[in-house]
Amino acid sequence: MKKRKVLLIGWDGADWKIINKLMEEGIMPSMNYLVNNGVMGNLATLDPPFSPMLWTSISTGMRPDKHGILGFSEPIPETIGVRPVSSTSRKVKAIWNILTQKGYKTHSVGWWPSHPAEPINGIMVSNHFQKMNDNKPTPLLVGAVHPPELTGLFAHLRIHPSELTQEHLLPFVPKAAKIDQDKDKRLFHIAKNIAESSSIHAATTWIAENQEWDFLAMYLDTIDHFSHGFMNFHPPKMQGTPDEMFELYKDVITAAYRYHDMMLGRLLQLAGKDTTIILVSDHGFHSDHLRPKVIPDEPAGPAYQHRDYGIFCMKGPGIKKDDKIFGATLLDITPTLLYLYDLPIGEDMDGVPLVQSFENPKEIKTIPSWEDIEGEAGMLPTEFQEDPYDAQESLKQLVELGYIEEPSDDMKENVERTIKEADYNLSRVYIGAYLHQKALPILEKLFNNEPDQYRFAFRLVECYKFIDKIDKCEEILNIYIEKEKKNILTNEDIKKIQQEKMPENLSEKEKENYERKRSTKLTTNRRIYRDLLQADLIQADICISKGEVKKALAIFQQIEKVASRSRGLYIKLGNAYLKLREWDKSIASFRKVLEIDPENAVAFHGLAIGFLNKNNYESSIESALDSVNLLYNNPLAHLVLGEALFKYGEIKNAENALKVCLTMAPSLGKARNLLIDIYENYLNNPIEAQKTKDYFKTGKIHSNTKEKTIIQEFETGLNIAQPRNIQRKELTNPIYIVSGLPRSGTSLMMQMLEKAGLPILTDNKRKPDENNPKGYYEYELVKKLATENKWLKNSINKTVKIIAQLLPQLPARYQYKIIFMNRDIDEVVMSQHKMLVRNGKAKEDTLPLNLKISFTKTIKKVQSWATKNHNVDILYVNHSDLIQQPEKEAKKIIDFLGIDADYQKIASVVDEKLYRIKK
Amino acid sequence: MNNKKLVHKKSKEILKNLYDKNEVFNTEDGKIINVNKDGSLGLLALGYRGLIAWRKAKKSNVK
Repeated sequence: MKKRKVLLIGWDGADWKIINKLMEEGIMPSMNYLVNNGVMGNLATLDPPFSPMLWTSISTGMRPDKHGILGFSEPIPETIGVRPVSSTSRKVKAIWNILTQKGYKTHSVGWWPSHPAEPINGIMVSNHFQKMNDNKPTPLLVGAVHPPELTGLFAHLRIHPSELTQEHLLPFVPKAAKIDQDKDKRLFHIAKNIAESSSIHAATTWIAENQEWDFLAMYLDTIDHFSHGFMNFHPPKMQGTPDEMFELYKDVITAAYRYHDMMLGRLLQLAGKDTTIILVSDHGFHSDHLRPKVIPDEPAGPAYQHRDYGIFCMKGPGIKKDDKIFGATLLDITPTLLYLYDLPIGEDMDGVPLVQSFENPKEIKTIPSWEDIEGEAGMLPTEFQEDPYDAQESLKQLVELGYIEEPSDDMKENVERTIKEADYNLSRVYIGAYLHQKALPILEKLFNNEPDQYRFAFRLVECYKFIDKIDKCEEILNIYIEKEKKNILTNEDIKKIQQEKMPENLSEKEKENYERKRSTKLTTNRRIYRDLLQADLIQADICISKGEVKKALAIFQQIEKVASRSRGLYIKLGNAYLKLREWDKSIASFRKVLEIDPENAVAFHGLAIGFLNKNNYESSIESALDSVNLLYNNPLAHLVLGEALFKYGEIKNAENALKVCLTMAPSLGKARNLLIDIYENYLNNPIEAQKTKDYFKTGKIHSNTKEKTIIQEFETGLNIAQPRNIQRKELTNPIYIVSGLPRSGTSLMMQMLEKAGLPILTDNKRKPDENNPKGYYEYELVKKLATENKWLKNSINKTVKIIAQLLPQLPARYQYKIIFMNRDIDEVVMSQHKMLVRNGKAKEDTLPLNLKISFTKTIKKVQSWATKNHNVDILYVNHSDLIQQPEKEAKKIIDFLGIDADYQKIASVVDEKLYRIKK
Repeated sequence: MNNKKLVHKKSKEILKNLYDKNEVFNTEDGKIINVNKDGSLGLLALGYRGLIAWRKAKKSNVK
């Protein structure tokens, strides 16, 4: 068998939207070859989408909280200052270290960050290699090349922009002669990008052709750089772009991609057909009407131009051909590389191998961590490795102790700003990993220092919302709004600024400064206005969390008046309408999102739900498919797809969709119940049915926090199909529920279970009275079950009273053991009436007998619901039997609950004197 | 002041070999590509070989 050889190519910021179009036009033939002979798909990025963090996640399979690269710059460990992020700050092994450790010949060129170069089993050319002073060629930085004896060679393979001629530049800017280069420096930037990418390419081709290699990685940042500089000139012309600028620079992006394709062609040639080629980008780039007109005035603000999906394609022996894969994230690249080399995946890695890309997937091997594996991994000696943030702390202390000179204010400010941004980035990483509790203290500190920074305020609110501290959300938001409102200009102020006359006798420079100041005032005001609108959106979200959907809707409608092209607004509006079960309005809102952004997976998902509830199954299937094609890793979209297919009669396809859903979210009870139903009643497959049921025995509630979050957001309030005719269940870690119609003996049963030693969930807000002398055992939040059920997560193994009418509102992700009190309906109606009379709310002579029909229906509904749901086990206890033979019933209850308790003690609770209403 | 860069003998040897070699580049249909002092994106896309060939062309033009 041939040894596996892999070429990993990184194109920062490359985007399928542009590539697909250029492939169709025949402008990217090499890319087209790669795609047609391998697999392709989106590569989901991470938040924050900052390249050094992302490329380190690609090369380690870990999130930045683990790998330690937290931004573009970092404090210099040995002094008070700032430098670009470096390889010495990476806390874990990169793929080149692991492969070195396993004896593979490994090379890397230009990866960000990889300076200083690491002593791997091959050549490493660092990310500073291609950077040169703008004016003249400069010497290669010390440490840029491993082994150092090749420094001279690689230094020579660098190209300085001044070397380039019109032959290189005209394909990018055919009318370059018209540019006044004294005023417009863009042509120089184009030359610089061409020079830098060509330098990296020259180094890579030399290694590919002259060195033995098992793994070769190369990274180009130039598509991203071209995109930041020139995407706003790319056709279609953006509103506000001057015609002459558009005419000059409209070809730059296409030329950049074409040049990258030419380089790719050469690399494919050198690699040969037996080499596995992987081409990835860390994020995409908006190239259409979604290009932001204004870049937020914040550090790394240009990242707002990024799209959430980068590119992934892979071609090679054993890889599927001309196929599309779904669900890849940039965390999956290193696990996939390890899988290709038949090496185990570290269990501490956050990604998984993309096995769906392979013709014959093999077993995935794992080890706890590659960090524990000893041996030469080609890492820099430990004395080089240092956490720059810790180092800065100790430096600060040395300054305070007088051992080091006090740095200048500028330097101090730089370091402080760098640390602040790294902290903020880390908090975003935690939020992205659903570790909100870890993000909280960081954001608290940032917000307390700068309460008018919208980004700190909004993310802090997000964290508090995640942990259900809604009061804190409101408090933070109010502090922010109060602070920010003070900064907003009145119409009068604005008018004054606009009409202000520039003082006379100013120099050119003073005039420029004057203009800049004036325009900054107006831009800042627009920014504040936009952020306050965002605060309103968050306020509406808070209302939804509190169950005040209509209030939220009113806020959304207000915002719509001033921001009618906001995707975020219409998504929220659509979701609010879903909660209110206003299907047509929700569909209309999601359609508006798609008018703005035709590739919005969330909008398609919302549409699928709306159509499903309107029994328009075909449209629901179509929308759900669109949603999963765009964003595969959303179990709820697969669930909706499964339901729609089931209702449409496509049982086999429904089975597949539900299986995918449960792979992603095993505890999604509704999907599991429907799948069991399909196996038992439609596909006649009792073995699969049993396997699917066995999950309930595991007692798992949620396999991970992310799953929990997704499910929590959407699980209730939607019309999810319920399966039928299923027998009962072995449940672990259930929530114990006492239920029945009001006045059917539920409080009595609560007393019995309390006596049995089960923990009772009650807030005792409703005090004992004449109607229930021994107490109601109620819990206020139960009343809001339809809109708020997060409290259930703290109710596992506890006992709570829930009236029969509310039982079907229970989310399917938990398991329930229910004791349901059955009492003669006439007695219930009479008892309730008596209670209302006692409370002065009804007259004695007006017995509402029509309630009997309604109550009977409720009981039937509960019976049907309990039978259909595999996460529900129910025991019906007859009220009169309980009164007449309490000990016998107590034994039944003990047996049902599977607890060790004294039945006589439990039975002693029953006081026949309180059984006052008899037929 | 001596501005001459220090280059390790290994690098020197490789560079010498690169410059000693006379490269001929062909298009897909077999035609020889003319390498002149102005260079081209196509040459740069060939990688180090194209780069060296272009630099050699520039040097000989200067001569």
